[in-house]
Amino acid sequence: MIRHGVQRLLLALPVLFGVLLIGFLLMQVVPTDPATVRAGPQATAEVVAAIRTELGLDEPVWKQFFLYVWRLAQGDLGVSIINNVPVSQELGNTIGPTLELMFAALVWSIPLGIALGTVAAYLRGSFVDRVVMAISVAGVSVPVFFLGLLLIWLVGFQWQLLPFTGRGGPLWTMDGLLAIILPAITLGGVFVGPVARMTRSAVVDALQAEHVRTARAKGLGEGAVVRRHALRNALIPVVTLIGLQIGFLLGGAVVTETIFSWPGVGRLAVGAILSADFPMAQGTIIVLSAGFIIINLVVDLLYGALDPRVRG
Amino acid sequence: MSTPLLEIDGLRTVFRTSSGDVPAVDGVSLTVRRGQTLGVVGESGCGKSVLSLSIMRLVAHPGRIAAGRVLLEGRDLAALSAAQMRAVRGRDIAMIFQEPMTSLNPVHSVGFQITEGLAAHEPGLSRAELRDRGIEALRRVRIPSPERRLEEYPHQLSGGMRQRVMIAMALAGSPKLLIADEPTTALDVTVQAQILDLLRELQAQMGMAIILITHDLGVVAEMADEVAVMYAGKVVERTDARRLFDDPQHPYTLGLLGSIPRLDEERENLLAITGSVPPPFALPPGCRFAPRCPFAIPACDAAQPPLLEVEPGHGAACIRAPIEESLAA
Ligand SMILES: Nc1ncnc2c1ncn2[C@@H]1O[C@H](COP(=O)(O)OP(=O)(O)OP(=O)(O)O)[C@@H](O)[C@H]1O
Ligand SMILES: [Mg+2]
Repeated sequence: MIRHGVQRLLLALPVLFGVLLIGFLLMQVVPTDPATVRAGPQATAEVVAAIRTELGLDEPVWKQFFLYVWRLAQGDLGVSIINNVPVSQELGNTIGPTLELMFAALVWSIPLGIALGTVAAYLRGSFVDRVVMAISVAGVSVPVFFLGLLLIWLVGFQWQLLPFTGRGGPLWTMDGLLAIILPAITLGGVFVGPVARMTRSAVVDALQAEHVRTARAKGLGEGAVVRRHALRNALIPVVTLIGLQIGFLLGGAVVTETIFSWPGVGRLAVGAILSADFPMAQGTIIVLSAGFIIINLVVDLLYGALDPRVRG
Repeated sequence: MSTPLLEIDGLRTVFRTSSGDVPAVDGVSLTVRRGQTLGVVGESGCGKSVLSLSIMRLVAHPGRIAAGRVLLEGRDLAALSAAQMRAVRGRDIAMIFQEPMTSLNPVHSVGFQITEGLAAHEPGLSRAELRDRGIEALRRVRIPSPERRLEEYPHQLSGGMRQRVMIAMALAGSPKLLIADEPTTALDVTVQAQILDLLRELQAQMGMAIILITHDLGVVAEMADEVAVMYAGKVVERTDARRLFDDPQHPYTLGLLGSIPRLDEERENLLAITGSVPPPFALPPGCRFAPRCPFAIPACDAAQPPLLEVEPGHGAACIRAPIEESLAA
């Protein structure tokens, strides 16, 4: 199991390299010149040129990239070319809030999606099933930004019920808790539908299995039959599918953080990309891809825990 | 003591289809006595599994029991609430299935699957007691080192072992009736014989009655006290096992046995049944076997023949029975 995990991590390295390369190339397309940004609006052309040289922006693109990778290999993420703050420091400050947001989004949306999907599967063809599926299709089709803006406008602005800008503090304080509600609903909300749909189809399949009939023949109640002999089996494909959807969720986190001014990696990434601050942008890309890889690793381990046949 | 353990009376189970309700079990009446084995034989699709699921009230949508009664020790099972019926399942009536691989849940350990039924029926049992009962159940079906097997998963067991686990699971609650739906069909021959021996031994030990569903007359000959032959959802012949083999009366049974009656003391003419079972949505109006029956006469197509006694304790649903006399005439 551990060897398997290490293998997966090693396999992730070339992927990470590819992600960095693509990220770097995309940064070249951004029309902003970081030297101009850094020099400020009043700077003369000479000053800007001097800054360009100083930042190494005059070097050929491939050389800049390999210099960056070379430093990275030594554990040096570099400093922001906009404000000279070490990238690692900024990342350290923003990872916490991002993890917090992801957690707050997943902790309700996954159980809710699984519960809705299971109920729909059990009552398939019924009115309840159709309502759940209609809601989840609607949930799938609503973009994150739309849901976020809607919540801000309605709950935050019109009704003035909840804060909608920034993080209110640590999660265990009232302010922190209140501030995370809308972002967590936004990010989790778009996840409920897909989870419900995947769960429904997996549970429908599992309910057809012959061992479900065995379970009923034993005299188990319907609750136990569905939980232990259909949902429990269905979780194997559901966990895999959720893992595949996580990339989509990271994208959603970037959008959610930006809308709600949530001080996380996603918002940092957007800011860095807009100002062509490539060491900073690359740093956030590394963190986001690492997050993706780690989540998939966790899914893999979970898969082993759920399915005795692969435990061997 | 005079009430039989299980009495099935005019049971009819239909499936709703786009072309209306089609019967899979159509007016079946059977009796199972305590401690005895009733063999139910018939070709694939004749309704054997639907019959056993109907007894358990486990027929799934779009199927439903449309008529008839199932009495367990005189108690009408249809009148029970869902909770009362659950108490019957696994405790009074247990069931084992044809395919031991798919009938066990791959994600739960053998021990969990054996004991969860017990836990449902006897909520007071502690974990240790459940474990002991699980070990005992595995020991009873002669699974070596049961303590270790308890922790294993179905994929770690051979087909024969899995069927033993199924039997252990079914018998853990000491049922009065065990319904075994083709328990050995999926197993190879030597294992088949072992499983049948085991069932017989356990029956002698525990005294439960068995409904043994099979399409193998050899199994019936070996195991059954009474036999019901099913064709297209109906019981066409019903008697004790000895008479079924010595003196079969329904042409379909004759076909299954592969021989024609001894008209002139010679038994060499093999009678093979030609054609196939009519599907439940296209049943002939009269006797359902008539289109394939070598003895059919025009009257056979007129009405469904009722199951009538040819002699005491021997029923056949054939207007031409007893065949010897009909042919001699
Ligand atoms: N879910 C269903 N929907 C419609 N018809 C069904 C359904 N299940 C069973 N039937 C019908 O019931 C009939 C009897 O099926 P059943 O499974 O009882 O046969 P069987 O005698 O057990 O056959 P086998 O020896 O293959 O197990 C079949 O002909 C089939 O058409
Ligand atoms: Mg069957």
